[in-house]
Amino acid sequence: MDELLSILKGICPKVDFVNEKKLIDDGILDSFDIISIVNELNEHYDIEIDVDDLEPDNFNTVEAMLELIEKLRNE
Amino acid sequence: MNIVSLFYLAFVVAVALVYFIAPRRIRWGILLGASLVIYLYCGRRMIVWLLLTSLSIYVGGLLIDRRQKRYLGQLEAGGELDKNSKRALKKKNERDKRCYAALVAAVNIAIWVTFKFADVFIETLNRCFSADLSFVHMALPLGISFYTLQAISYVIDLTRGKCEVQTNYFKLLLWLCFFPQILQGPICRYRETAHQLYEPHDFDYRRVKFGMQRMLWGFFKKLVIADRVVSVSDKVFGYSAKYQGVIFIIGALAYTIQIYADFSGGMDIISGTAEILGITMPLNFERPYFSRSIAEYWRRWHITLGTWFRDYVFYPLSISRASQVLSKHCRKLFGPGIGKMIPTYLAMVLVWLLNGIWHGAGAQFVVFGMYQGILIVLGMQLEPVFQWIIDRFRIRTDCFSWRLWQRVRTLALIMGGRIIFKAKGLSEAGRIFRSIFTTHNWWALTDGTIFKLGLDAWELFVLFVAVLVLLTVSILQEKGVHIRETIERQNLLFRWGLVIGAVVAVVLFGVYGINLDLTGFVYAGF
Repeated sequence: MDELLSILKGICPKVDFVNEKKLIDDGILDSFDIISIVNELNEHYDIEIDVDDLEPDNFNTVEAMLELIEKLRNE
Repeated sequence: MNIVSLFYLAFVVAVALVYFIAPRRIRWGILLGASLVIYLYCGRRMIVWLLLTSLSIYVGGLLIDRRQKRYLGQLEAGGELDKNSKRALKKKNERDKRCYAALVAAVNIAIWVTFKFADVFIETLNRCFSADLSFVHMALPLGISFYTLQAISYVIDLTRGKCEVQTNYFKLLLWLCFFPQILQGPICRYRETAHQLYEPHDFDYRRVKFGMQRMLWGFFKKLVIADRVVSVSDKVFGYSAKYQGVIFIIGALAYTIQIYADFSGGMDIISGTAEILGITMPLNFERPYFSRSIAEYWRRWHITLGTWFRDYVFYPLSISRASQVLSKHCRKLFGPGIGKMIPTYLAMVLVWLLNGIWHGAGAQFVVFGMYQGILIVLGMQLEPVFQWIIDRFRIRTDCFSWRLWQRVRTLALIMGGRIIFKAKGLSEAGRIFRSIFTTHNWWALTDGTIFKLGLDAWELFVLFVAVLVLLTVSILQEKGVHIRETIERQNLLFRWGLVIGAVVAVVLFGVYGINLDLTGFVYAGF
């Protein structure tokens, strides 16, 4: 979790990733942030986040992102 | 069909009556019948193209679904397949489904391009090869730019597993041509609206009342504001050779007001109609002129078009393997900061190029799209510079004046885009920009010139009051006030006074008050 948080903070330093629970629904992250996060996560965790995975539910919280990473790692 | 006509109102009343009286199981059929009647009334033979598109996504959808079922069967039959075999099966399934979707998309884009750009191609051929081919002047099938995007979204969403296949052709056709929405959007997603069309809705007084109120608000925006201010924008841009400097700023402001009142007013009428029938249309406008940056503006203007381009062009391009490879090369060449962003910026520029082309054939629409894209990229790239200026001059950013400045600045940039959009060609747009920056005729604001731009003093006063009403309602909405619910909580006299006042205002100042002809909707032309 801490590792992911530090990656996210590196991309969007002003966003409170710990407490925000609607990062996409509330428009806190825009499409550029999403793309930056996806590219960073793909590279860091050696996973392949597909366009099908770009659902608000997968990016609304840090926990959801972690869950997505775990799922893709196990595939 | 003009949705601000009495004919349209009568049609909506008739459809609603039949819909609520009809047996519940055939209500979706009533909607389909009404939609086809409207399409035949407006487009006649052009319905062939709508049927072709609907047939293509119907067949494409069935093929995609069949392929998915085959894949699931293979997985089940495979039992204890190893990870690599499963991955290979998944990849093949994905590839096949995407092929079907691409084929359907290609067919529909080809139809759309042929209709939209045939004369542009002919003109280019004539110019390049000194040929003398005559123009075809093809009329566009009603709503083609909207339903084509909607059709493509259906097959792509199916490949992505984001919606269920529709096995009833007529139900799919209804989703594609639902009568208020086919006229000028919004561009709906299958999973959001289709089920609402198929479910029977009973008469609900509150919902019908809210729908009618929304339609009334749309009529106000369209008839009282858009159709009034159009006189100014048409005069300034139509006879631009006569004008200079500040008059173009007035013209650009007039067109900025007109296109918003026109398009969002149309959306209110369409969404209100759907609401009466129990169907919620997706939001297409969220007070875009309150935006504090161009990027934010495009998240609030024509939202369904923006999200379409985001989901089906920007995202796939930005996270594609090719983009990742390009990103690695760029980082080596330009450093980690800008290098990493270049592929994303390229994807965005392409999105804006397509956005411009969607609006119209011709270089001026391409430049319009690129103008927006470049402003967004510049805004992002120059953010550290802006921050440095803010820190260096100790500018307060947590106050009203800063937010106002951001909004005024954004509005000025939007007006720049409107000049490109509305001018009679690119060179004329260039002349208008030059004139704005080099001619200082500010006295034109006070010497009576503004009363000769298509509206006299009284008309300008009515327009001013109407825009003030629009602004007040927008500010209230921006503060989270739900206007219709707030009206509902008031006393009977006040409620009815307000509604009757609004109807009278629309009738007096919109339809009969002045000698203006009813004009079509700007976006219905796309």
